[in-house]
Amino acid sequence: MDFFNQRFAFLLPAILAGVVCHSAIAQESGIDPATLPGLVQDDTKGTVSGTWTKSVHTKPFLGEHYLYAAGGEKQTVTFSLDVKEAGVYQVLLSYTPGPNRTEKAAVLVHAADGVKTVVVNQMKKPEGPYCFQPLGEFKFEAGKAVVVVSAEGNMKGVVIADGVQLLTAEQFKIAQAEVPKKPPKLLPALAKNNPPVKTPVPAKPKEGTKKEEPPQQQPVKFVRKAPAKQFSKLSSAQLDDLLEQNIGGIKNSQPISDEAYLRRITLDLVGRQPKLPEMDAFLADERADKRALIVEKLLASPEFGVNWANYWSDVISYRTPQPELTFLSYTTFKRWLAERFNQNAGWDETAYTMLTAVGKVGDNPAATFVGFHQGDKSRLAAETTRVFLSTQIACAECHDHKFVDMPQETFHHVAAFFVRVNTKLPWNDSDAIIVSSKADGEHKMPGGKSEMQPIAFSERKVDLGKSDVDRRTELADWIIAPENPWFARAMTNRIWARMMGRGFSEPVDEIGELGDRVLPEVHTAVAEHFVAGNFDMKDVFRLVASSKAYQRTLRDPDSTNKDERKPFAVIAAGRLRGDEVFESLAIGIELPNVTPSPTPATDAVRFPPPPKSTRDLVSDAFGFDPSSDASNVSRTMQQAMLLMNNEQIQKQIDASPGSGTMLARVVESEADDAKAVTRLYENVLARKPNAEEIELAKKHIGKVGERKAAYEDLLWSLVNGAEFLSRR
Amino acid sequence: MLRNVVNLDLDSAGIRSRRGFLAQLAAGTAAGVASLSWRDMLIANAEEVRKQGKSMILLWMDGGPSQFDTFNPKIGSQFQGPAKAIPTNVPGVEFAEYWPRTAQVMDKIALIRSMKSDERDHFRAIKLVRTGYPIKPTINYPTWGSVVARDRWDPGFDLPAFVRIGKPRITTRDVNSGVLGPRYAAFRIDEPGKLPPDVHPAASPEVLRRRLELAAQVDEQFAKAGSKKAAAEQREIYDRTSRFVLSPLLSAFELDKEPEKLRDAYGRNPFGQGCLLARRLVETGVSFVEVISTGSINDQGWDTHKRGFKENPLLAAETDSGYATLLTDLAQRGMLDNTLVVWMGEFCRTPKFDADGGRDHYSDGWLAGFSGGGVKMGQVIGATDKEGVHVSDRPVGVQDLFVTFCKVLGMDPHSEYVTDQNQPLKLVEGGELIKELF
Repeated sequence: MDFFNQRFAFLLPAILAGVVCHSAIAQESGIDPATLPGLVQDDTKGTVSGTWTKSVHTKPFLGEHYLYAAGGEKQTVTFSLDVKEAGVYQVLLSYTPGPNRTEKAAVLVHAADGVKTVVVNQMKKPEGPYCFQPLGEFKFEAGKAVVVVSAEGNMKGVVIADGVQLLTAEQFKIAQAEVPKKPPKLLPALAKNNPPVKTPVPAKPKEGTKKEEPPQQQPVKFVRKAPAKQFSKLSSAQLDDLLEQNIGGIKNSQPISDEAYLRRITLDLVGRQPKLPEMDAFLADERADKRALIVEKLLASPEFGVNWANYWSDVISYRTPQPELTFLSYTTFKRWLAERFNQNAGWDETAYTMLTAVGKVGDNPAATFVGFHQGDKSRLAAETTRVFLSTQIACAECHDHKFVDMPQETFHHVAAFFVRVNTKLPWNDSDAIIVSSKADGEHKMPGGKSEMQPIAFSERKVDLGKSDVDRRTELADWIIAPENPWFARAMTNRIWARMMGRGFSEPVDEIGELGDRVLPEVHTAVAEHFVAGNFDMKDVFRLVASSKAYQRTLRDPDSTNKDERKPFAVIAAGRLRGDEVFESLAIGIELPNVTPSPTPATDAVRFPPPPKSTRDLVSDAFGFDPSSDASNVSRTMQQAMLLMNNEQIQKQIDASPGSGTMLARVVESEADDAKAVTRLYENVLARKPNAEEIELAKKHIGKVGERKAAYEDLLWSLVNGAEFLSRR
Repeated sequence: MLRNVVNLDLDSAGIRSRRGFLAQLAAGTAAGVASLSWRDMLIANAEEVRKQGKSMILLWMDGGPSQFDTFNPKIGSQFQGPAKAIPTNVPGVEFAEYWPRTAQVMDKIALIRSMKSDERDHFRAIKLVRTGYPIKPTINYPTWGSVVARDRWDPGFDLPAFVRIGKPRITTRDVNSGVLGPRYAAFRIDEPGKLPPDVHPAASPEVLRRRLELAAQVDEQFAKAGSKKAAAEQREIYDRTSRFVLSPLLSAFELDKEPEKLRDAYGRNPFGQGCLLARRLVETGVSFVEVISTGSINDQGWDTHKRGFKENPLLAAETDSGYATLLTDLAQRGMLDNTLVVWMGEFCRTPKFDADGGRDHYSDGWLAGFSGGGVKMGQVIGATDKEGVHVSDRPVGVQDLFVTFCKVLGMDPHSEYVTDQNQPLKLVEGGELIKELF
């Protein structure tokens, strides 16, 4: 084994230039290998021999995780990269350093002129770019370049295998120069489990000394308390029984076709229509329990978390006023929330974390809720109860509530929980919003003289003088307690509303007296099922998705039939959210997402609005407050104009050969009109057309005379029809 | 018969002659109607369309213009700016010298010099002065244009009821239709003379019509499959939208047919051309038009914290022609009585100024100009003291403005609407009519 330590001398200038690997801001997930230059292979694509353990603990790292092993026979990770052109390449090794690493990691490079071994001291930080350590230049033939990270002879510490990169000399030079200026592009998924935070005791200021800022109190980590009583889960059959008892017509209902079921459950769980391969696979699947299996598949998909994070982000954002000089971007929050949902985090834990959070939004996205409301105690009182408990108390801010027995004091006792929240808002970038705590302060009612004690609806009283974090912790504890009937019913009401066309209570964010409430015992049963599953949203989806009630045909109720006026007797088609419409366009017509470059702030224009991507434009036009009464959400001219005339969309409605669109491919490849029309319907509406629809299309083709123009009309009409925009 | 009635020489009593004209139009033959010019038909239509209600044009001076450098120069005060005063065509009333053209139409302005409010912060003041309601974190009050659009809503009218021309200097400090929802939101024109993207059909009108017919058939299928309501809603909005994008009235948004001299008179800048566009839109039947003035220098707009001496004349230069020509043009066309034109910003500026003429925010003695709509013009209402520090006579509050808007526009200030969160809101809360205007 040759030792080529002297290779490192070649790299001295780079070392002296101080190429830094770790970014200043804590990295929350792995570097995206697809965004790096040259040839890159992550450990997930390498060949693993022996036992290696995955980790994400030390950052930065490459890809989804890195591997470590202590040492043993045949413990290797083999990386194999496709070299197109023979030549000399710089080989770089990605690893995460630490005091427990080996000082002698063996890396075997299978170069053109033989296997060379490089020994890497993995206790030292890699010199970069990013988390890579350059190992030196090696000759390779065209074909597979093999690099093996070996823990076989390892005696002390652990060996890290994360990834390998090959760069030409040119690429290497550029990378070294660029990296100090550019942070690496990360993968969307976040690392699991933030490390636990300690709660320091705030220092008391000394007498006679300058008043010091007490250190920021950190929130206490969430601990789920055992519920006082046992809650039981519900099966889909039991749910059907309950509904049969209350409204009838469930047991004997005809379930919808496989095609329709796949479409509906895909829209409900991941916010888009199914793709053609998914449709084909599902229809071909012969397993008896395939519907339950597709539910599991969709729940396990990362798209599930992204979709429902979009929903909850909209619930919050539509009622969060725009601050004066900061553009609120929910991207960081959505990413964090999606990860919570995908990792089956309990909604109690997520809500608790959001309500008690401190810190900078970009570093701690949980602080978004408190931060974006600018720490305003009235807004937070109103929105916390509305969002997490589906109880609206805003009316009582200024006077005794006119319609329910709620004196003005009730509102202000809740506001008192938030009186010591402090927020700092920067110009422009909402990721830089900081949530912290004020050292003192109490809340008084407008025009009132006495300080309001924090009290939650006569049930949880907190003393005056308590700190910000203590107050919010008390409130959060009360909100999420399994015994609090509002919390579980609030979430289940929303899921039910989406899946069953209306909530148990409408509007969906009012489950108290003022709501239009139906079937309370069924609501309670579903809510208890949610609690029994440790507040995992997915349990509620499973419950409803496999019920007969869910699998009925959607149609408008017949208003002349009094039986159809019973709640959930008949479910009408609903409305897709803005992001769902974009996803449907992305699949239906392969609409690309174009983001213009941002305008930099200048002295003349200090607050340039962030650029709007195609996705933003569609979401803005079709977005609506998910808590709104359905009657208040109307179709707008802006929506119609977008689908009718928008340039980006029209580019996809182009059947010219060579345009590269889905439409052009269908028209070119399918001479049979019935088949071509079928493919269009399948792409856009995720179903086959019926005979009448095929006739309609054929008639139109005949009328127009020119196939290209006729098919463009057809695709246009599908995208501009009501069905495409409906939750069906 | 038509020839006797048609009178294109408009006088101030133009309304009456046009009503008669309209009656003839209704009784006339198709041939007779066809002999009328497009513009005549528009004007006739506009009346009907507005249901005999008046239009409003808000000229919004974004940033809070200095009273000393506009219409209350306070010559002799220690806080007077470098501007000299010039006489206007109303004896005894003087403007700062940067406004020569507006000075010649003071007879068409009722100038309030005693506006008072408690808000000296842009964000809060913009909310107050554009909605009539003091800022409240838990309610997103609608901008006045949306309230008027709701009052004037006519599904049979091709164009939007509320159009906004120009962009605020700082986009986060803005108001929108709030609790009234997207239907009454402003239709936004960023650059006068250009329609926003997505309005012009991507295909020819013939192809668009063909596609709309096909889409209707597709929706019929969806209705047959059980979703009549969704299909009907789609048809309704597509009918309205296609009427809009294919409407001949869309040419109201174009400026290239206007005489070059008139375009020069308005001023070849975004605000000036925006005023011209506002006139065309009101002529076509739009009920509320906002034209935003930001000065086109930088994002300070009228908010001259810095470089006041340098920028105030430039701001005035951009706005003087547009304001004056708008009033003159409306008067010449006999439209002024039916069009309320309001000039104002969110507040004014401090008497004390820096070395470069920079002034801070101030809300004691800001200005509002009322023209048209039948108000008594050519007068000054209220005053500030000799030094220009406090309102000394006849203070006017923001809600007073809104009660007055209601009177001119034929709306009841105490009537209520229900928001999309089922909360009842009055058009205006409190306030008293500014009687001097009637």
